[in-house]
Amino acid sequence: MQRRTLIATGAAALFAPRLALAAWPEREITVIVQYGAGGSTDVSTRAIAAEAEKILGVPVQIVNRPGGQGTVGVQQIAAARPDGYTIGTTGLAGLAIAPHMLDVAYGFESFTFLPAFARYLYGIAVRAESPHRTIQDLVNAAKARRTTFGATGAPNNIGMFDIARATGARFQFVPFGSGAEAVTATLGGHVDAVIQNPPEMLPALESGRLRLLASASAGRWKEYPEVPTLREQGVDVVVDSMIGFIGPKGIPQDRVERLTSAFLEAAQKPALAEILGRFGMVPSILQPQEFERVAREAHDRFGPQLREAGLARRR
Amino acid sequence: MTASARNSAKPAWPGAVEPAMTRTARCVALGGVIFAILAWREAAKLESWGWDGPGPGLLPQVLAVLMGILALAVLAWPGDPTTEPEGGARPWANRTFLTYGIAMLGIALALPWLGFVAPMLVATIAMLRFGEGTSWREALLYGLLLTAGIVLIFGTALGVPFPSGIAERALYSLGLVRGA
Amino acid sequence: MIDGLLHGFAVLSSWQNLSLCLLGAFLGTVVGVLPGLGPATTIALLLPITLKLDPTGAIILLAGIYYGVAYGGTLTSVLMRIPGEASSVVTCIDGYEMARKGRAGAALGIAAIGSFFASTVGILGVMLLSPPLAELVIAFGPWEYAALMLAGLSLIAFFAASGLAKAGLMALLGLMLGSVGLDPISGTPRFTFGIPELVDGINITPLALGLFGLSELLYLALVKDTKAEILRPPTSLLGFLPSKQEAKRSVAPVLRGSVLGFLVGLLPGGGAVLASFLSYAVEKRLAKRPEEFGRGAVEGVAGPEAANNAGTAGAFIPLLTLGIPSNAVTALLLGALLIHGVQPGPMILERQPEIYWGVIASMYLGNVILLVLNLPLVGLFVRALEIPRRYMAAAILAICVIGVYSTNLATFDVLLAAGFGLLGFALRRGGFDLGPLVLAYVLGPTFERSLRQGLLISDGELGILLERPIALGFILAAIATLAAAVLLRNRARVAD
Repeated sequence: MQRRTLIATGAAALFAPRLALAAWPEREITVIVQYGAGGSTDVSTRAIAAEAEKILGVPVQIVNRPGGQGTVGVQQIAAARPDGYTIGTTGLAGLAIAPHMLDVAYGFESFTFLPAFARYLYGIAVRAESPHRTIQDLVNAAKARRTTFGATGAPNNIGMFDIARATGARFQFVPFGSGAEAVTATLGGHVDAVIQNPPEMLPALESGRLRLLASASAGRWKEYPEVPTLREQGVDVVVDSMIGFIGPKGIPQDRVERLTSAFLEAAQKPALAEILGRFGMVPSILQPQEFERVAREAHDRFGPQLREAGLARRR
Repeated sequence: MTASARNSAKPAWPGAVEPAMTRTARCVALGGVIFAILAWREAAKLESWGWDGPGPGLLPQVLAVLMGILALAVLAWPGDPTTEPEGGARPWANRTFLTYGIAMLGIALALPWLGFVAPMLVATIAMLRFGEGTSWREALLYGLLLTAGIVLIFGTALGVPFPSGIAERALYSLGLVRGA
Repeated sequence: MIDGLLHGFAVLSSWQNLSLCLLGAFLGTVVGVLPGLGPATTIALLLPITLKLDPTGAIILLAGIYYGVAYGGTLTSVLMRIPGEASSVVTCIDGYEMARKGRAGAALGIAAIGSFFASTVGILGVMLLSPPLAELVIAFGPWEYAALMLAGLSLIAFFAASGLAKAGLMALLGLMLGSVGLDPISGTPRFTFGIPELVDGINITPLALGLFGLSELLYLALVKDTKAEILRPPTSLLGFLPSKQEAKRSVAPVLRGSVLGFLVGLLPGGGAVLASFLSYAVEKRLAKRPEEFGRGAVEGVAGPEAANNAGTAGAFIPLLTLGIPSNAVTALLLGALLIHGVQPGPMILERQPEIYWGVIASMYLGNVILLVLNLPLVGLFVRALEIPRRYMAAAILAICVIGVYSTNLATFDVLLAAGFGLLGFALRRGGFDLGPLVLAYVLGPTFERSLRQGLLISDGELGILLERPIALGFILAAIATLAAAVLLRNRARVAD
């Protein structure tokens, strides 16, 4: 895999005419997406790429490289030629979570960080028949008896573990393959609660079959402005994940700056906010250094927590 | 096994050689035993019972044991030799079979380094020339036709990205296929 | 309801939507015919293009591909023993045998007509029964899935033409292959040997194309070039159509397959695949001549083909009424809807009736288009059997290789498929059935995941099953199936 990319990009560089750097970029930029087409990562990347295209003046093409729980794509970014023409997007999943679960051939030192442009929203909900009205009700119930919740994995479940630690409640994590399955199991009363993103939860919330207890993010959901966040309800927990650009280590500084300024500009376009909103994300700009710092912190924090929950590989 | 199955188990067409079914079945069963042992060794490294119920290793370990038992059973009773008459005899002495097999494995191995177009062309020509004994001209012509057809249908019309190789790079620049 | 449908046809009557429906059905057939290149891959490839369309047009196009695939998948299964789609794997068994007996046209004709009937049943089901069936989907929790998968696995007993030990060995191999990848609960890698491509498990494409398609390539090499002679494609137009007797034998299987497929297709995780296998097992059980199964029984094509098409329609119910995708393809459709600012779910009928009814109407029209498209082409496609082996073999290889590669753009998958090709060849010569292997491979992961989810929820208690009638029912059905299989086998032996 790695070798193939090297050959390909090597040959491409050979054929590319070497002109003045001032005109950079002079050909199309490839953005590797670590998941398949149609998901939130893919759609948000496509949306910002469409804006960045206008700013950079060259085509920005998307290549989906799913596999290995999103690590294959990230691996390809790390192995790409550091000329700035091959970069990619990733969230905390590839940088801060997967390295605890799998043997990956990359680390933070493999990447040049570029800006992050969006955050995911999270919410905790119960089904309509449930007696719980606030997060405190759920926590009290979980103090009295073991309470199950459905989620796809980190960082959602870590948020619930944090709540449990802060309040002394007993939450049992039940993993599901997709957010939709977790929500369905909650609707049927098979699990007591669910912590997921808006796209999976909104249909059930709107029809009144699911009740949002709290936004687990830093801010409230725009669809449910009356539902307070965890913090506002006295539980000091925030579930956070973002998506941003990274490239292989060693991209020349002037190109990093060009890409950074282009993506920062693209991230402020209203059209982007519109698309992000449909996939349960909010525009949120992080400077490259900040993105790297947040990702590193999350990486260091998630490791012990995942191991404690028996979810990470043993070293 | 059943009476009816046995009755209807005539060779599918006249001239088919009675197969060495039981021998192959025993070989497969032997492979199954080895596979089960290797799978057990791998599965034994996994936790079979976690703090919250069955662990990741439980199912593979159970499967490996059952598989070993059943493989031994098949080794002992490989089944009715007249059921499922399939294929001719001695594939290893059959030139066509060997050429096809080598072509298949060759493409699979060459794909990461040489791309799709060049190995497919070589494989098709080899299959026709050496496997089927056609003329070089026919082999070359069909090889080109087939490869071009696949490139046009999958690559150009449907937009499937091709693995990068020597020939693909030329096709990228012509805009006929997308790069991966 | 009638108003709604009329509204739907009004939506559809614009030139743009009409041609998109046609294009979708056509593309779907093509994609279904081309193995490996499944609906998920194609929809993913087309997604960026649909951004330029309005939401209704986009969803009509994508839905057309989705159900068109269910038609096209049959073709290569019957003619080349390459399953075009996972849900056509069963068709390889008897469809290909029918083709070897010169009844390829009949197999394809029955499949096309059966598919049309089943899709119509499915669409009517979507229209009339959506709300109550959505409740059924919600009532299914981990325990219900685990029990259903168990009942599905018990069907293996009916696929055991070669004896229970051999079928059992194949089922275990399938379960083992299904367990490769990340453990569904803890995320621990299993049998991955540090290969990143194996982390997501073994894909169905290299498995099915290797075991069936590439093994056929090796097998073809051994039969003397007598293939065309055996096949004897009919020369008259009527010869392509099923005979009166074949048609009569297919009526009941198609009816049963339609209902069965629709109900099973509702449920997440391999619905259409399970539906096709389930239908095959049921038909084999009910057939007057079960010994013909595996040797070209028309019931073994009619039932499963109806079932997988009805299942395709069934999968729309959770998507449209709950906003819940039940498989990878409907998940992509959901993504496509979201991109266009359409939120599927219970509110869709009120907010965007033109989408809901547009899709329903396009399904009606699409199926008519597909029948019209497929039936005359049967005659043309059957001619493919006259292609001499030397040309056919290389074409099988080329299609399988690019088909496997295109699914995940992974060269490793092609290597895997070649390995499965060798394995499939050895298994076939050894008289092993591939049915149990594929069935166990598809159902195993869902079974394990659901069972362990159930145990997490109940804190390790099995007694909870007594409070769950649906799950209990499936478990009893599984036991009854196994008992029946063993008893019938013994009775046959006594008669022997």
